[in-house]
Amino acid sequence: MISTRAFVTGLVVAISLVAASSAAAYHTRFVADNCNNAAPTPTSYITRDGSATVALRARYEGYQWAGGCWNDNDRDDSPNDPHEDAATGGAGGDCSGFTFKVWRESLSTSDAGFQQWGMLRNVHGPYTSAAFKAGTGAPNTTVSKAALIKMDALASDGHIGLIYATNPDGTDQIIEAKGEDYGTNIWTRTYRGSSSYTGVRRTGWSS
Amino acid sequence: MDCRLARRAVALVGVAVVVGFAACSSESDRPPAQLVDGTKSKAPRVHLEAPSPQILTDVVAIEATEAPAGTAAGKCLRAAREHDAQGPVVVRTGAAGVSVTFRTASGRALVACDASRAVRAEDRSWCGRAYGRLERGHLLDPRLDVAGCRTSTGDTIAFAWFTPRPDAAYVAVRQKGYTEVYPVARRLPVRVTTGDIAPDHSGATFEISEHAASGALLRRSTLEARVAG
Repeated sequence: MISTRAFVTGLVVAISLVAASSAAAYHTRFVADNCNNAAPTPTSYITRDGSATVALRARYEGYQWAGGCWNDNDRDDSPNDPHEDAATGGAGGDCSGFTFKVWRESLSTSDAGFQQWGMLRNVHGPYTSAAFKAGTGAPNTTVSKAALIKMDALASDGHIGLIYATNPDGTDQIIEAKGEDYGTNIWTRTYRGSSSYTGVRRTGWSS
Repeated sequence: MDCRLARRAVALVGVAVVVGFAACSSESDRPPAQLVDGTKSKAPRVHLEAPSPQILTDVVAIEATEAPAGTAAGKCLRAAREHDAQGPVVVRTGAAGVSVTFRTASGRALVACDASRAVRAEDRSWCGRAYGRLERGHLLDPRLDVAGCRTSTGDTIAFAWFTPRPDAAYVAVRQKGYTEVYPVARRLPVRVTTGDIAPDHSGATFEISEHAASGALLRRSTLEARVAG
């Protein structure tokens, strides 16, 4: 016969264990165990196709709010993190961190040069999607949507995605870090037709 | 003789160094004499339980439907016209920056326009914009903005929202040499500024205290905000 006291104690312990495991799921070790703070390598010859290759290595990776570190194992190592929590330490970038890294930008907004960041370098960069949308920073500028080509971007105040290809019907295949529930991938999008989105270009490509 | 001259020279150099150091330190530690719109800075009516000197940020709240076109509120609503505004528009003018905050008509987001100088009717004044999602009325992320705003001396300035506790009447942010005081207005998160930025981590630190209407300290905290989304 289990006493009431023992039952209550057991219940408290069980609830604590469930809460602890939930908390552990919210704070993964991915960044702490895998990512680094290595300095970037300045590079001078950068093509749009080369940048697309960098972007494709992030395909099928996860999504991390304020993040910018992934490992190219084609899966989200930290699924189901809470939304918009910069402290969860998971795999992947967010939309603006992904764009910053793929566009090989500098931490200094006055530097338009190209910086090669390692895939496992945990870096987000100084730009939000709203800042990209405004063309903020020396490397970035706004362009008309009609002029957008491969590896240009479409940005709103809350999101940014890169043009991987344009479909015959005028929609775009966008490579983007979409959200915690979706990760990073290529999706067909109608951003170009939305008044919330502006065309943005990283300047200085070699070709 | 030579020895006396040398001693005088050393003494003069010493005095110059001391005077120079005092001038430098008083320059950097001196609180701003005016807000970015040129009005004279003043202390809050009640002295907050926070370090002095204290500078009060000017705050104006106006209904979105009544915001005159040439004002900061009107200019922000126009610049962010893809977001229908509802309710109050709060304009804050501080020692280092100006911000405008409003809630979208859907009630699911906040929008801010940031500027590092006075907002004039005839020019483009905004150096930053923020869009923050609300979940059950609570802001998910402070929406740090560090990319585009510089002070008149060229220093980067960061903006972020801080959500005060319900009983707070003032939010105070520690700045270099003074405390900037923000009256809480219309139950909206307070758009605060700092120069304490860490570019390597795409982040900024805000040393914050919340105060009752009497000035009494309610809570101290450090907001470590990161650029995201």
